[in-house]
Amino acid sequence: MSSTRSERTLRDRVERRILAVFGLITVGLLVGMFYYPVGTVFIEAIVVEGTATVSVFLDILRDPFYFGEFARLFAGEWPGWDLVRPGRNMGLVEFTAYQAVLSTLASLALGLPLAYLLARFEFRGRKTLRSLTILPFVLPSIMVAVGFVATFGSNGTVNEVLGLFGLGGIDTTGTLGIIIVAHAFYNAPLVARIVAASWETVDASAVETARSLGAGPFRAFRDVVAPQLYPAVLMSAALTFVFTFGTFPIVLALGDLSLATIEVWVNRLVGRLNYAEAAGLAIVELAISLSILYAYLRYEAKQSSQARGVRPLPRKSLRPTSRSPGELLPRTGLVAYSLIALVVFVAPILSMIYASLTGPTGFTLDHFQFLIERQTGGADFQVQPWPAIRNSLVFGFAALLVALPMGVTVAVLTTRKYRGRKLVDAVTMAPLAVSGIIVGLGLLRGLVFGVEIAGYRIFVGGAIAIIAAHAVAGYPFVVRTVAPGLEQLDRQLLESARSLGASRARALMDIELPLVWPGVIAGAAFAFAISIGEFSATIILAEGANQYTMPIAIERFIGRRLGPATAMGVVLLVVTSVSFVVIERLGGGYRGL
Amino acid sequence: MASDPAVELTDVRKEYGTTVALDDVSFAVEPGEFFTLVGPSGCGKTTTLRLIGGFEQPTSGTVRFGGRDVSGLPPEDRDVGVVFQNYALFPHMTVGENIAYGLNFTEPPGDVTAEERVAELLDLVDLAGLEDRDPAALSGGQKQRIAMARALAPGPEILLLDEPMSALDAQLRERLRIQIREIQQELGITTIYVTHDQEEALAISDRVAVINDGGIEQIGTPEQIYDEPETEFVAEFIGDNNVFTGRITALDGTVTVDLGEETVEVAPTGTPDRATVGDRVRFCVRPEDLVVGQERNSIRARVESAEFLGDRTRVHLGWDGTELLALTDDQLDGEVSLGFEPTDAHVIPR
Repeated sequence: MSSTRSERTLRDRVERRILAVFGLITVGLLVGMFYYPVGTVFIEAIVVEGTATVSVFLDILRDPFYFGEFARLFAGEWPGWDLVRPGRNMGLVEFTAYQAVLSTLASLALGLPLAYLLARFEFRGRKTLRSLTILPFVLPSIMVAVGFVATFGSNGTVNEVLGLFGLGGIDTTGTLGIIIVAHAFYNAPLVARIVAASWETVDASAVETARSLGAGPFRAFRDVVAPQLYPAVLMSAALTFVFTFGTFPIVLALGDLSLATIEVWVNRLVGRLNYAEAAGLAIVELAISLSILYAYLRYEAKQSSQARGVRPLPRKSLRPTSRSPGELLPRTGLVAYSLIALVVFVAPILSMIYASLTGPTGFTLDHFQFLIERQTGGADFQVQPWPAIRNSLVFGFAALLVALPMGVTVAVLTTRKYRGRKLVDAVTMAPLAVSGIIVGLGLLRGLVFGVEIAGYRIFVGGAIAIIAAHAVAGYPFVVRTVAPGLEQLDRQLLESARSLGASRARALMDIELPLVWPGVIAGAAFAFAISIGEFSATIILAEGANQYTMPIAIERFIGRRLGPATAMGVVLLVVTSVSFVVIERLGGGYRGL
Repeated sequence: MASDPAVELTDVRKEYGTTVALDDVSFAVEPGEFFTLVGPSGCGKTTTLRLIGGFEQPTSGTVRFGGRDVSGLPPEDRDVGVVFQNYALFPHMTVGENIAYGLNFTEPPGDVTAEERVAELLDLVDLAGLEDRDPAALSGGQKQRIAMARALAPGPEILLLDEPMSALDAQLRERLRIQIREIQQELGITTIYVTHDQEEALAISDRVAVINDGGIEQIGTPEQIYDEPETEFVAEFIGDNNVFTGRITALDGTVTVDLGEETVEVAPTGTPDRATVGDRVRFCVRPEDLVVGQERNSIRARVESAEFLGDRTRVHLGWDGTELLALTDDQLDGEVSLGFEPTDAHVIPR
């Protein structure tokens, strides 16, 4: 028998190497699609005319346009009270941070009541509501922007409703307020998700102990429950800040240049071909985001992991059991909250659908018709709707084909315990923390413009670069959905297969992947949805109208013709909702995210 | 080379960081032998098994199968069947698919189809006809036997069993261990068995290695391990035992030991050759050999508590600041006199 096993076929030999080969390919792709481009941006920012210098950064830091009064501080002056004087001239970076803080506060204000509702009450549709909180991950932000214009814009549904009562005439387009609410639309569900998960692990007996020792319900909440929620609240706040600090499509679509944030400006600098300053600014942004994340992670590491109880607090019914203020007050609050939530979360989606189906004369399919007509009648330089839909789908599937094997390979390589695993973890998950605009810029300046290697000039087309950028943005989600499943698999299943004669790769295919299949499916759906909605890198890389995707087309439409923008928004909504349903139904067992 | 041991470990050492899990362990298992590694949890017995299975690589030392160095060979090339503690049946495959899995990589032995081989194996473990069952629908004992059938299906040279019965209740364990032993005898397969249950180890094995703290305390037949423990650890780990320490006062065919209050005579088996009068010596006497009222080698002890075991009563006695155990049929109380035959005492050489 040992002889049959030692006679190795070619297929067998290939099989044995396949995992190593996939690992190497993944490393290669990661370098080519992420580290090399990001490195290009760094070099762009520090090498000016062949010499290394920090002058680009110094110029940015000392420019009042970017740093306002702080620029004087960085230039060596002491601005004194001017730093905090109300009404001072805020620099671009300061403004970006300012709107991120406001957005974070708004997201907490909208997210925490939802967390309370999800964690503490039982009602029909609770699980569905909970599933819906994953939706922002897959909804393209440009689509959200369209929804907000359709709701709060000058011709939006809010004004229409107000007009019915003889009121009206609010126009929120181009205000900071609408941007912040749109950010809250995006991040409040994230806050709710993280905090509710933490709330559900609070042990009921701890609260009961506090109550039996004489604490009232509010005191028990303050002393026992709240301290256990702080880390989750802080985590969701840190993530929201980082996400909104790197905001781009929402501000681009909803604001004007007076509200420009860092990424909007980076995009503008790229448009003006001022690459060095764009790179410098992008790196300033990255540095600030990473410091916030790092500070948060340091804080998190200091939190000793408390032993969490096995018996969660029982959920209450939404119907009050008595007329005492303790019963009525929270429920009244939740009713008020749900009215606001309807306006913020549901109205934009419904308004977008409504706007896509109505015209000056009532119900119409004109806007959808337009998506097809442009195709035949439009001039070349105009945005072609159908190619945008086709491009989105092609890029989506291509990015998926790259991201899925990459993500699974990384998940397999980071599940096992070995020295240096943390480093591998960090290196492979870094794309999550780096904005698409940096990746896009790096790809553009590197491989798209051409790289000289050993005398050969290597180019990749814009389409390939877009797929690469999408794959880089998507594969960490595959890792996040597949790795937890692999980690929880009994190691002895794998070892049994190995001792029965299966190679490492064969055991992965036969045993591990079938058992974590829901996670693989969910990861694939995420990767696809991320690609469909990707905006930042695409707008930098798309070479003219024939490489535009749906989000880019929407951005082109949004200022001029809301109807087609909403129609395309609906198409995008349908495509991403399918991804969402796939994640929820087929990927029901995944444990990540 | 027919004389090569089926499995041979030479100076095998395994370190995890600064922890030494196995400290230069050597032993050889003969072809067809049922060899058991027994010891308390964390002693290194499972690590030893994992090294043989190829799931871990030794820090130093060699593992040989039939004289061939297998260090560095991955598990799939070792021709070893493994049954794990929790059975590790593939949950997404039927019972039949589980058993047939190894036949993807090896022709079934004996010129039969994979299907026939599966039926053969199910027959062997007394579960004929369960091919299409879902493993989750099986009882613990059935899962254990399916895991065994799966490990044996490709016809491995060596079978490794890692506490395969620790999740089962006591009665089932006793039945299954008889079945495992029968299957092993029928196939004549070299088997290495890991358990923390010393009774199981004695009942099932040709030879037993007692492991403690990463090192081997003693290797021998169950009788040798039980009757002639070579270390105090073995004496106390394998069954109940009473260990006495004293000083040799005479060596003339028997060994006379001064225990302080009493002086006793014990048989010389196990006494090191270089032992002389005046040396400290330890010997052990099993509770069943410590007889109440026996005149010879009598000592006086005080009854502290008693446990009724059904057929016997186990008495805990206080003597000279230590606890002694004795088995009796009688109700005992207060101060009693106990004694033992010199031949029932065994000197612990190390």
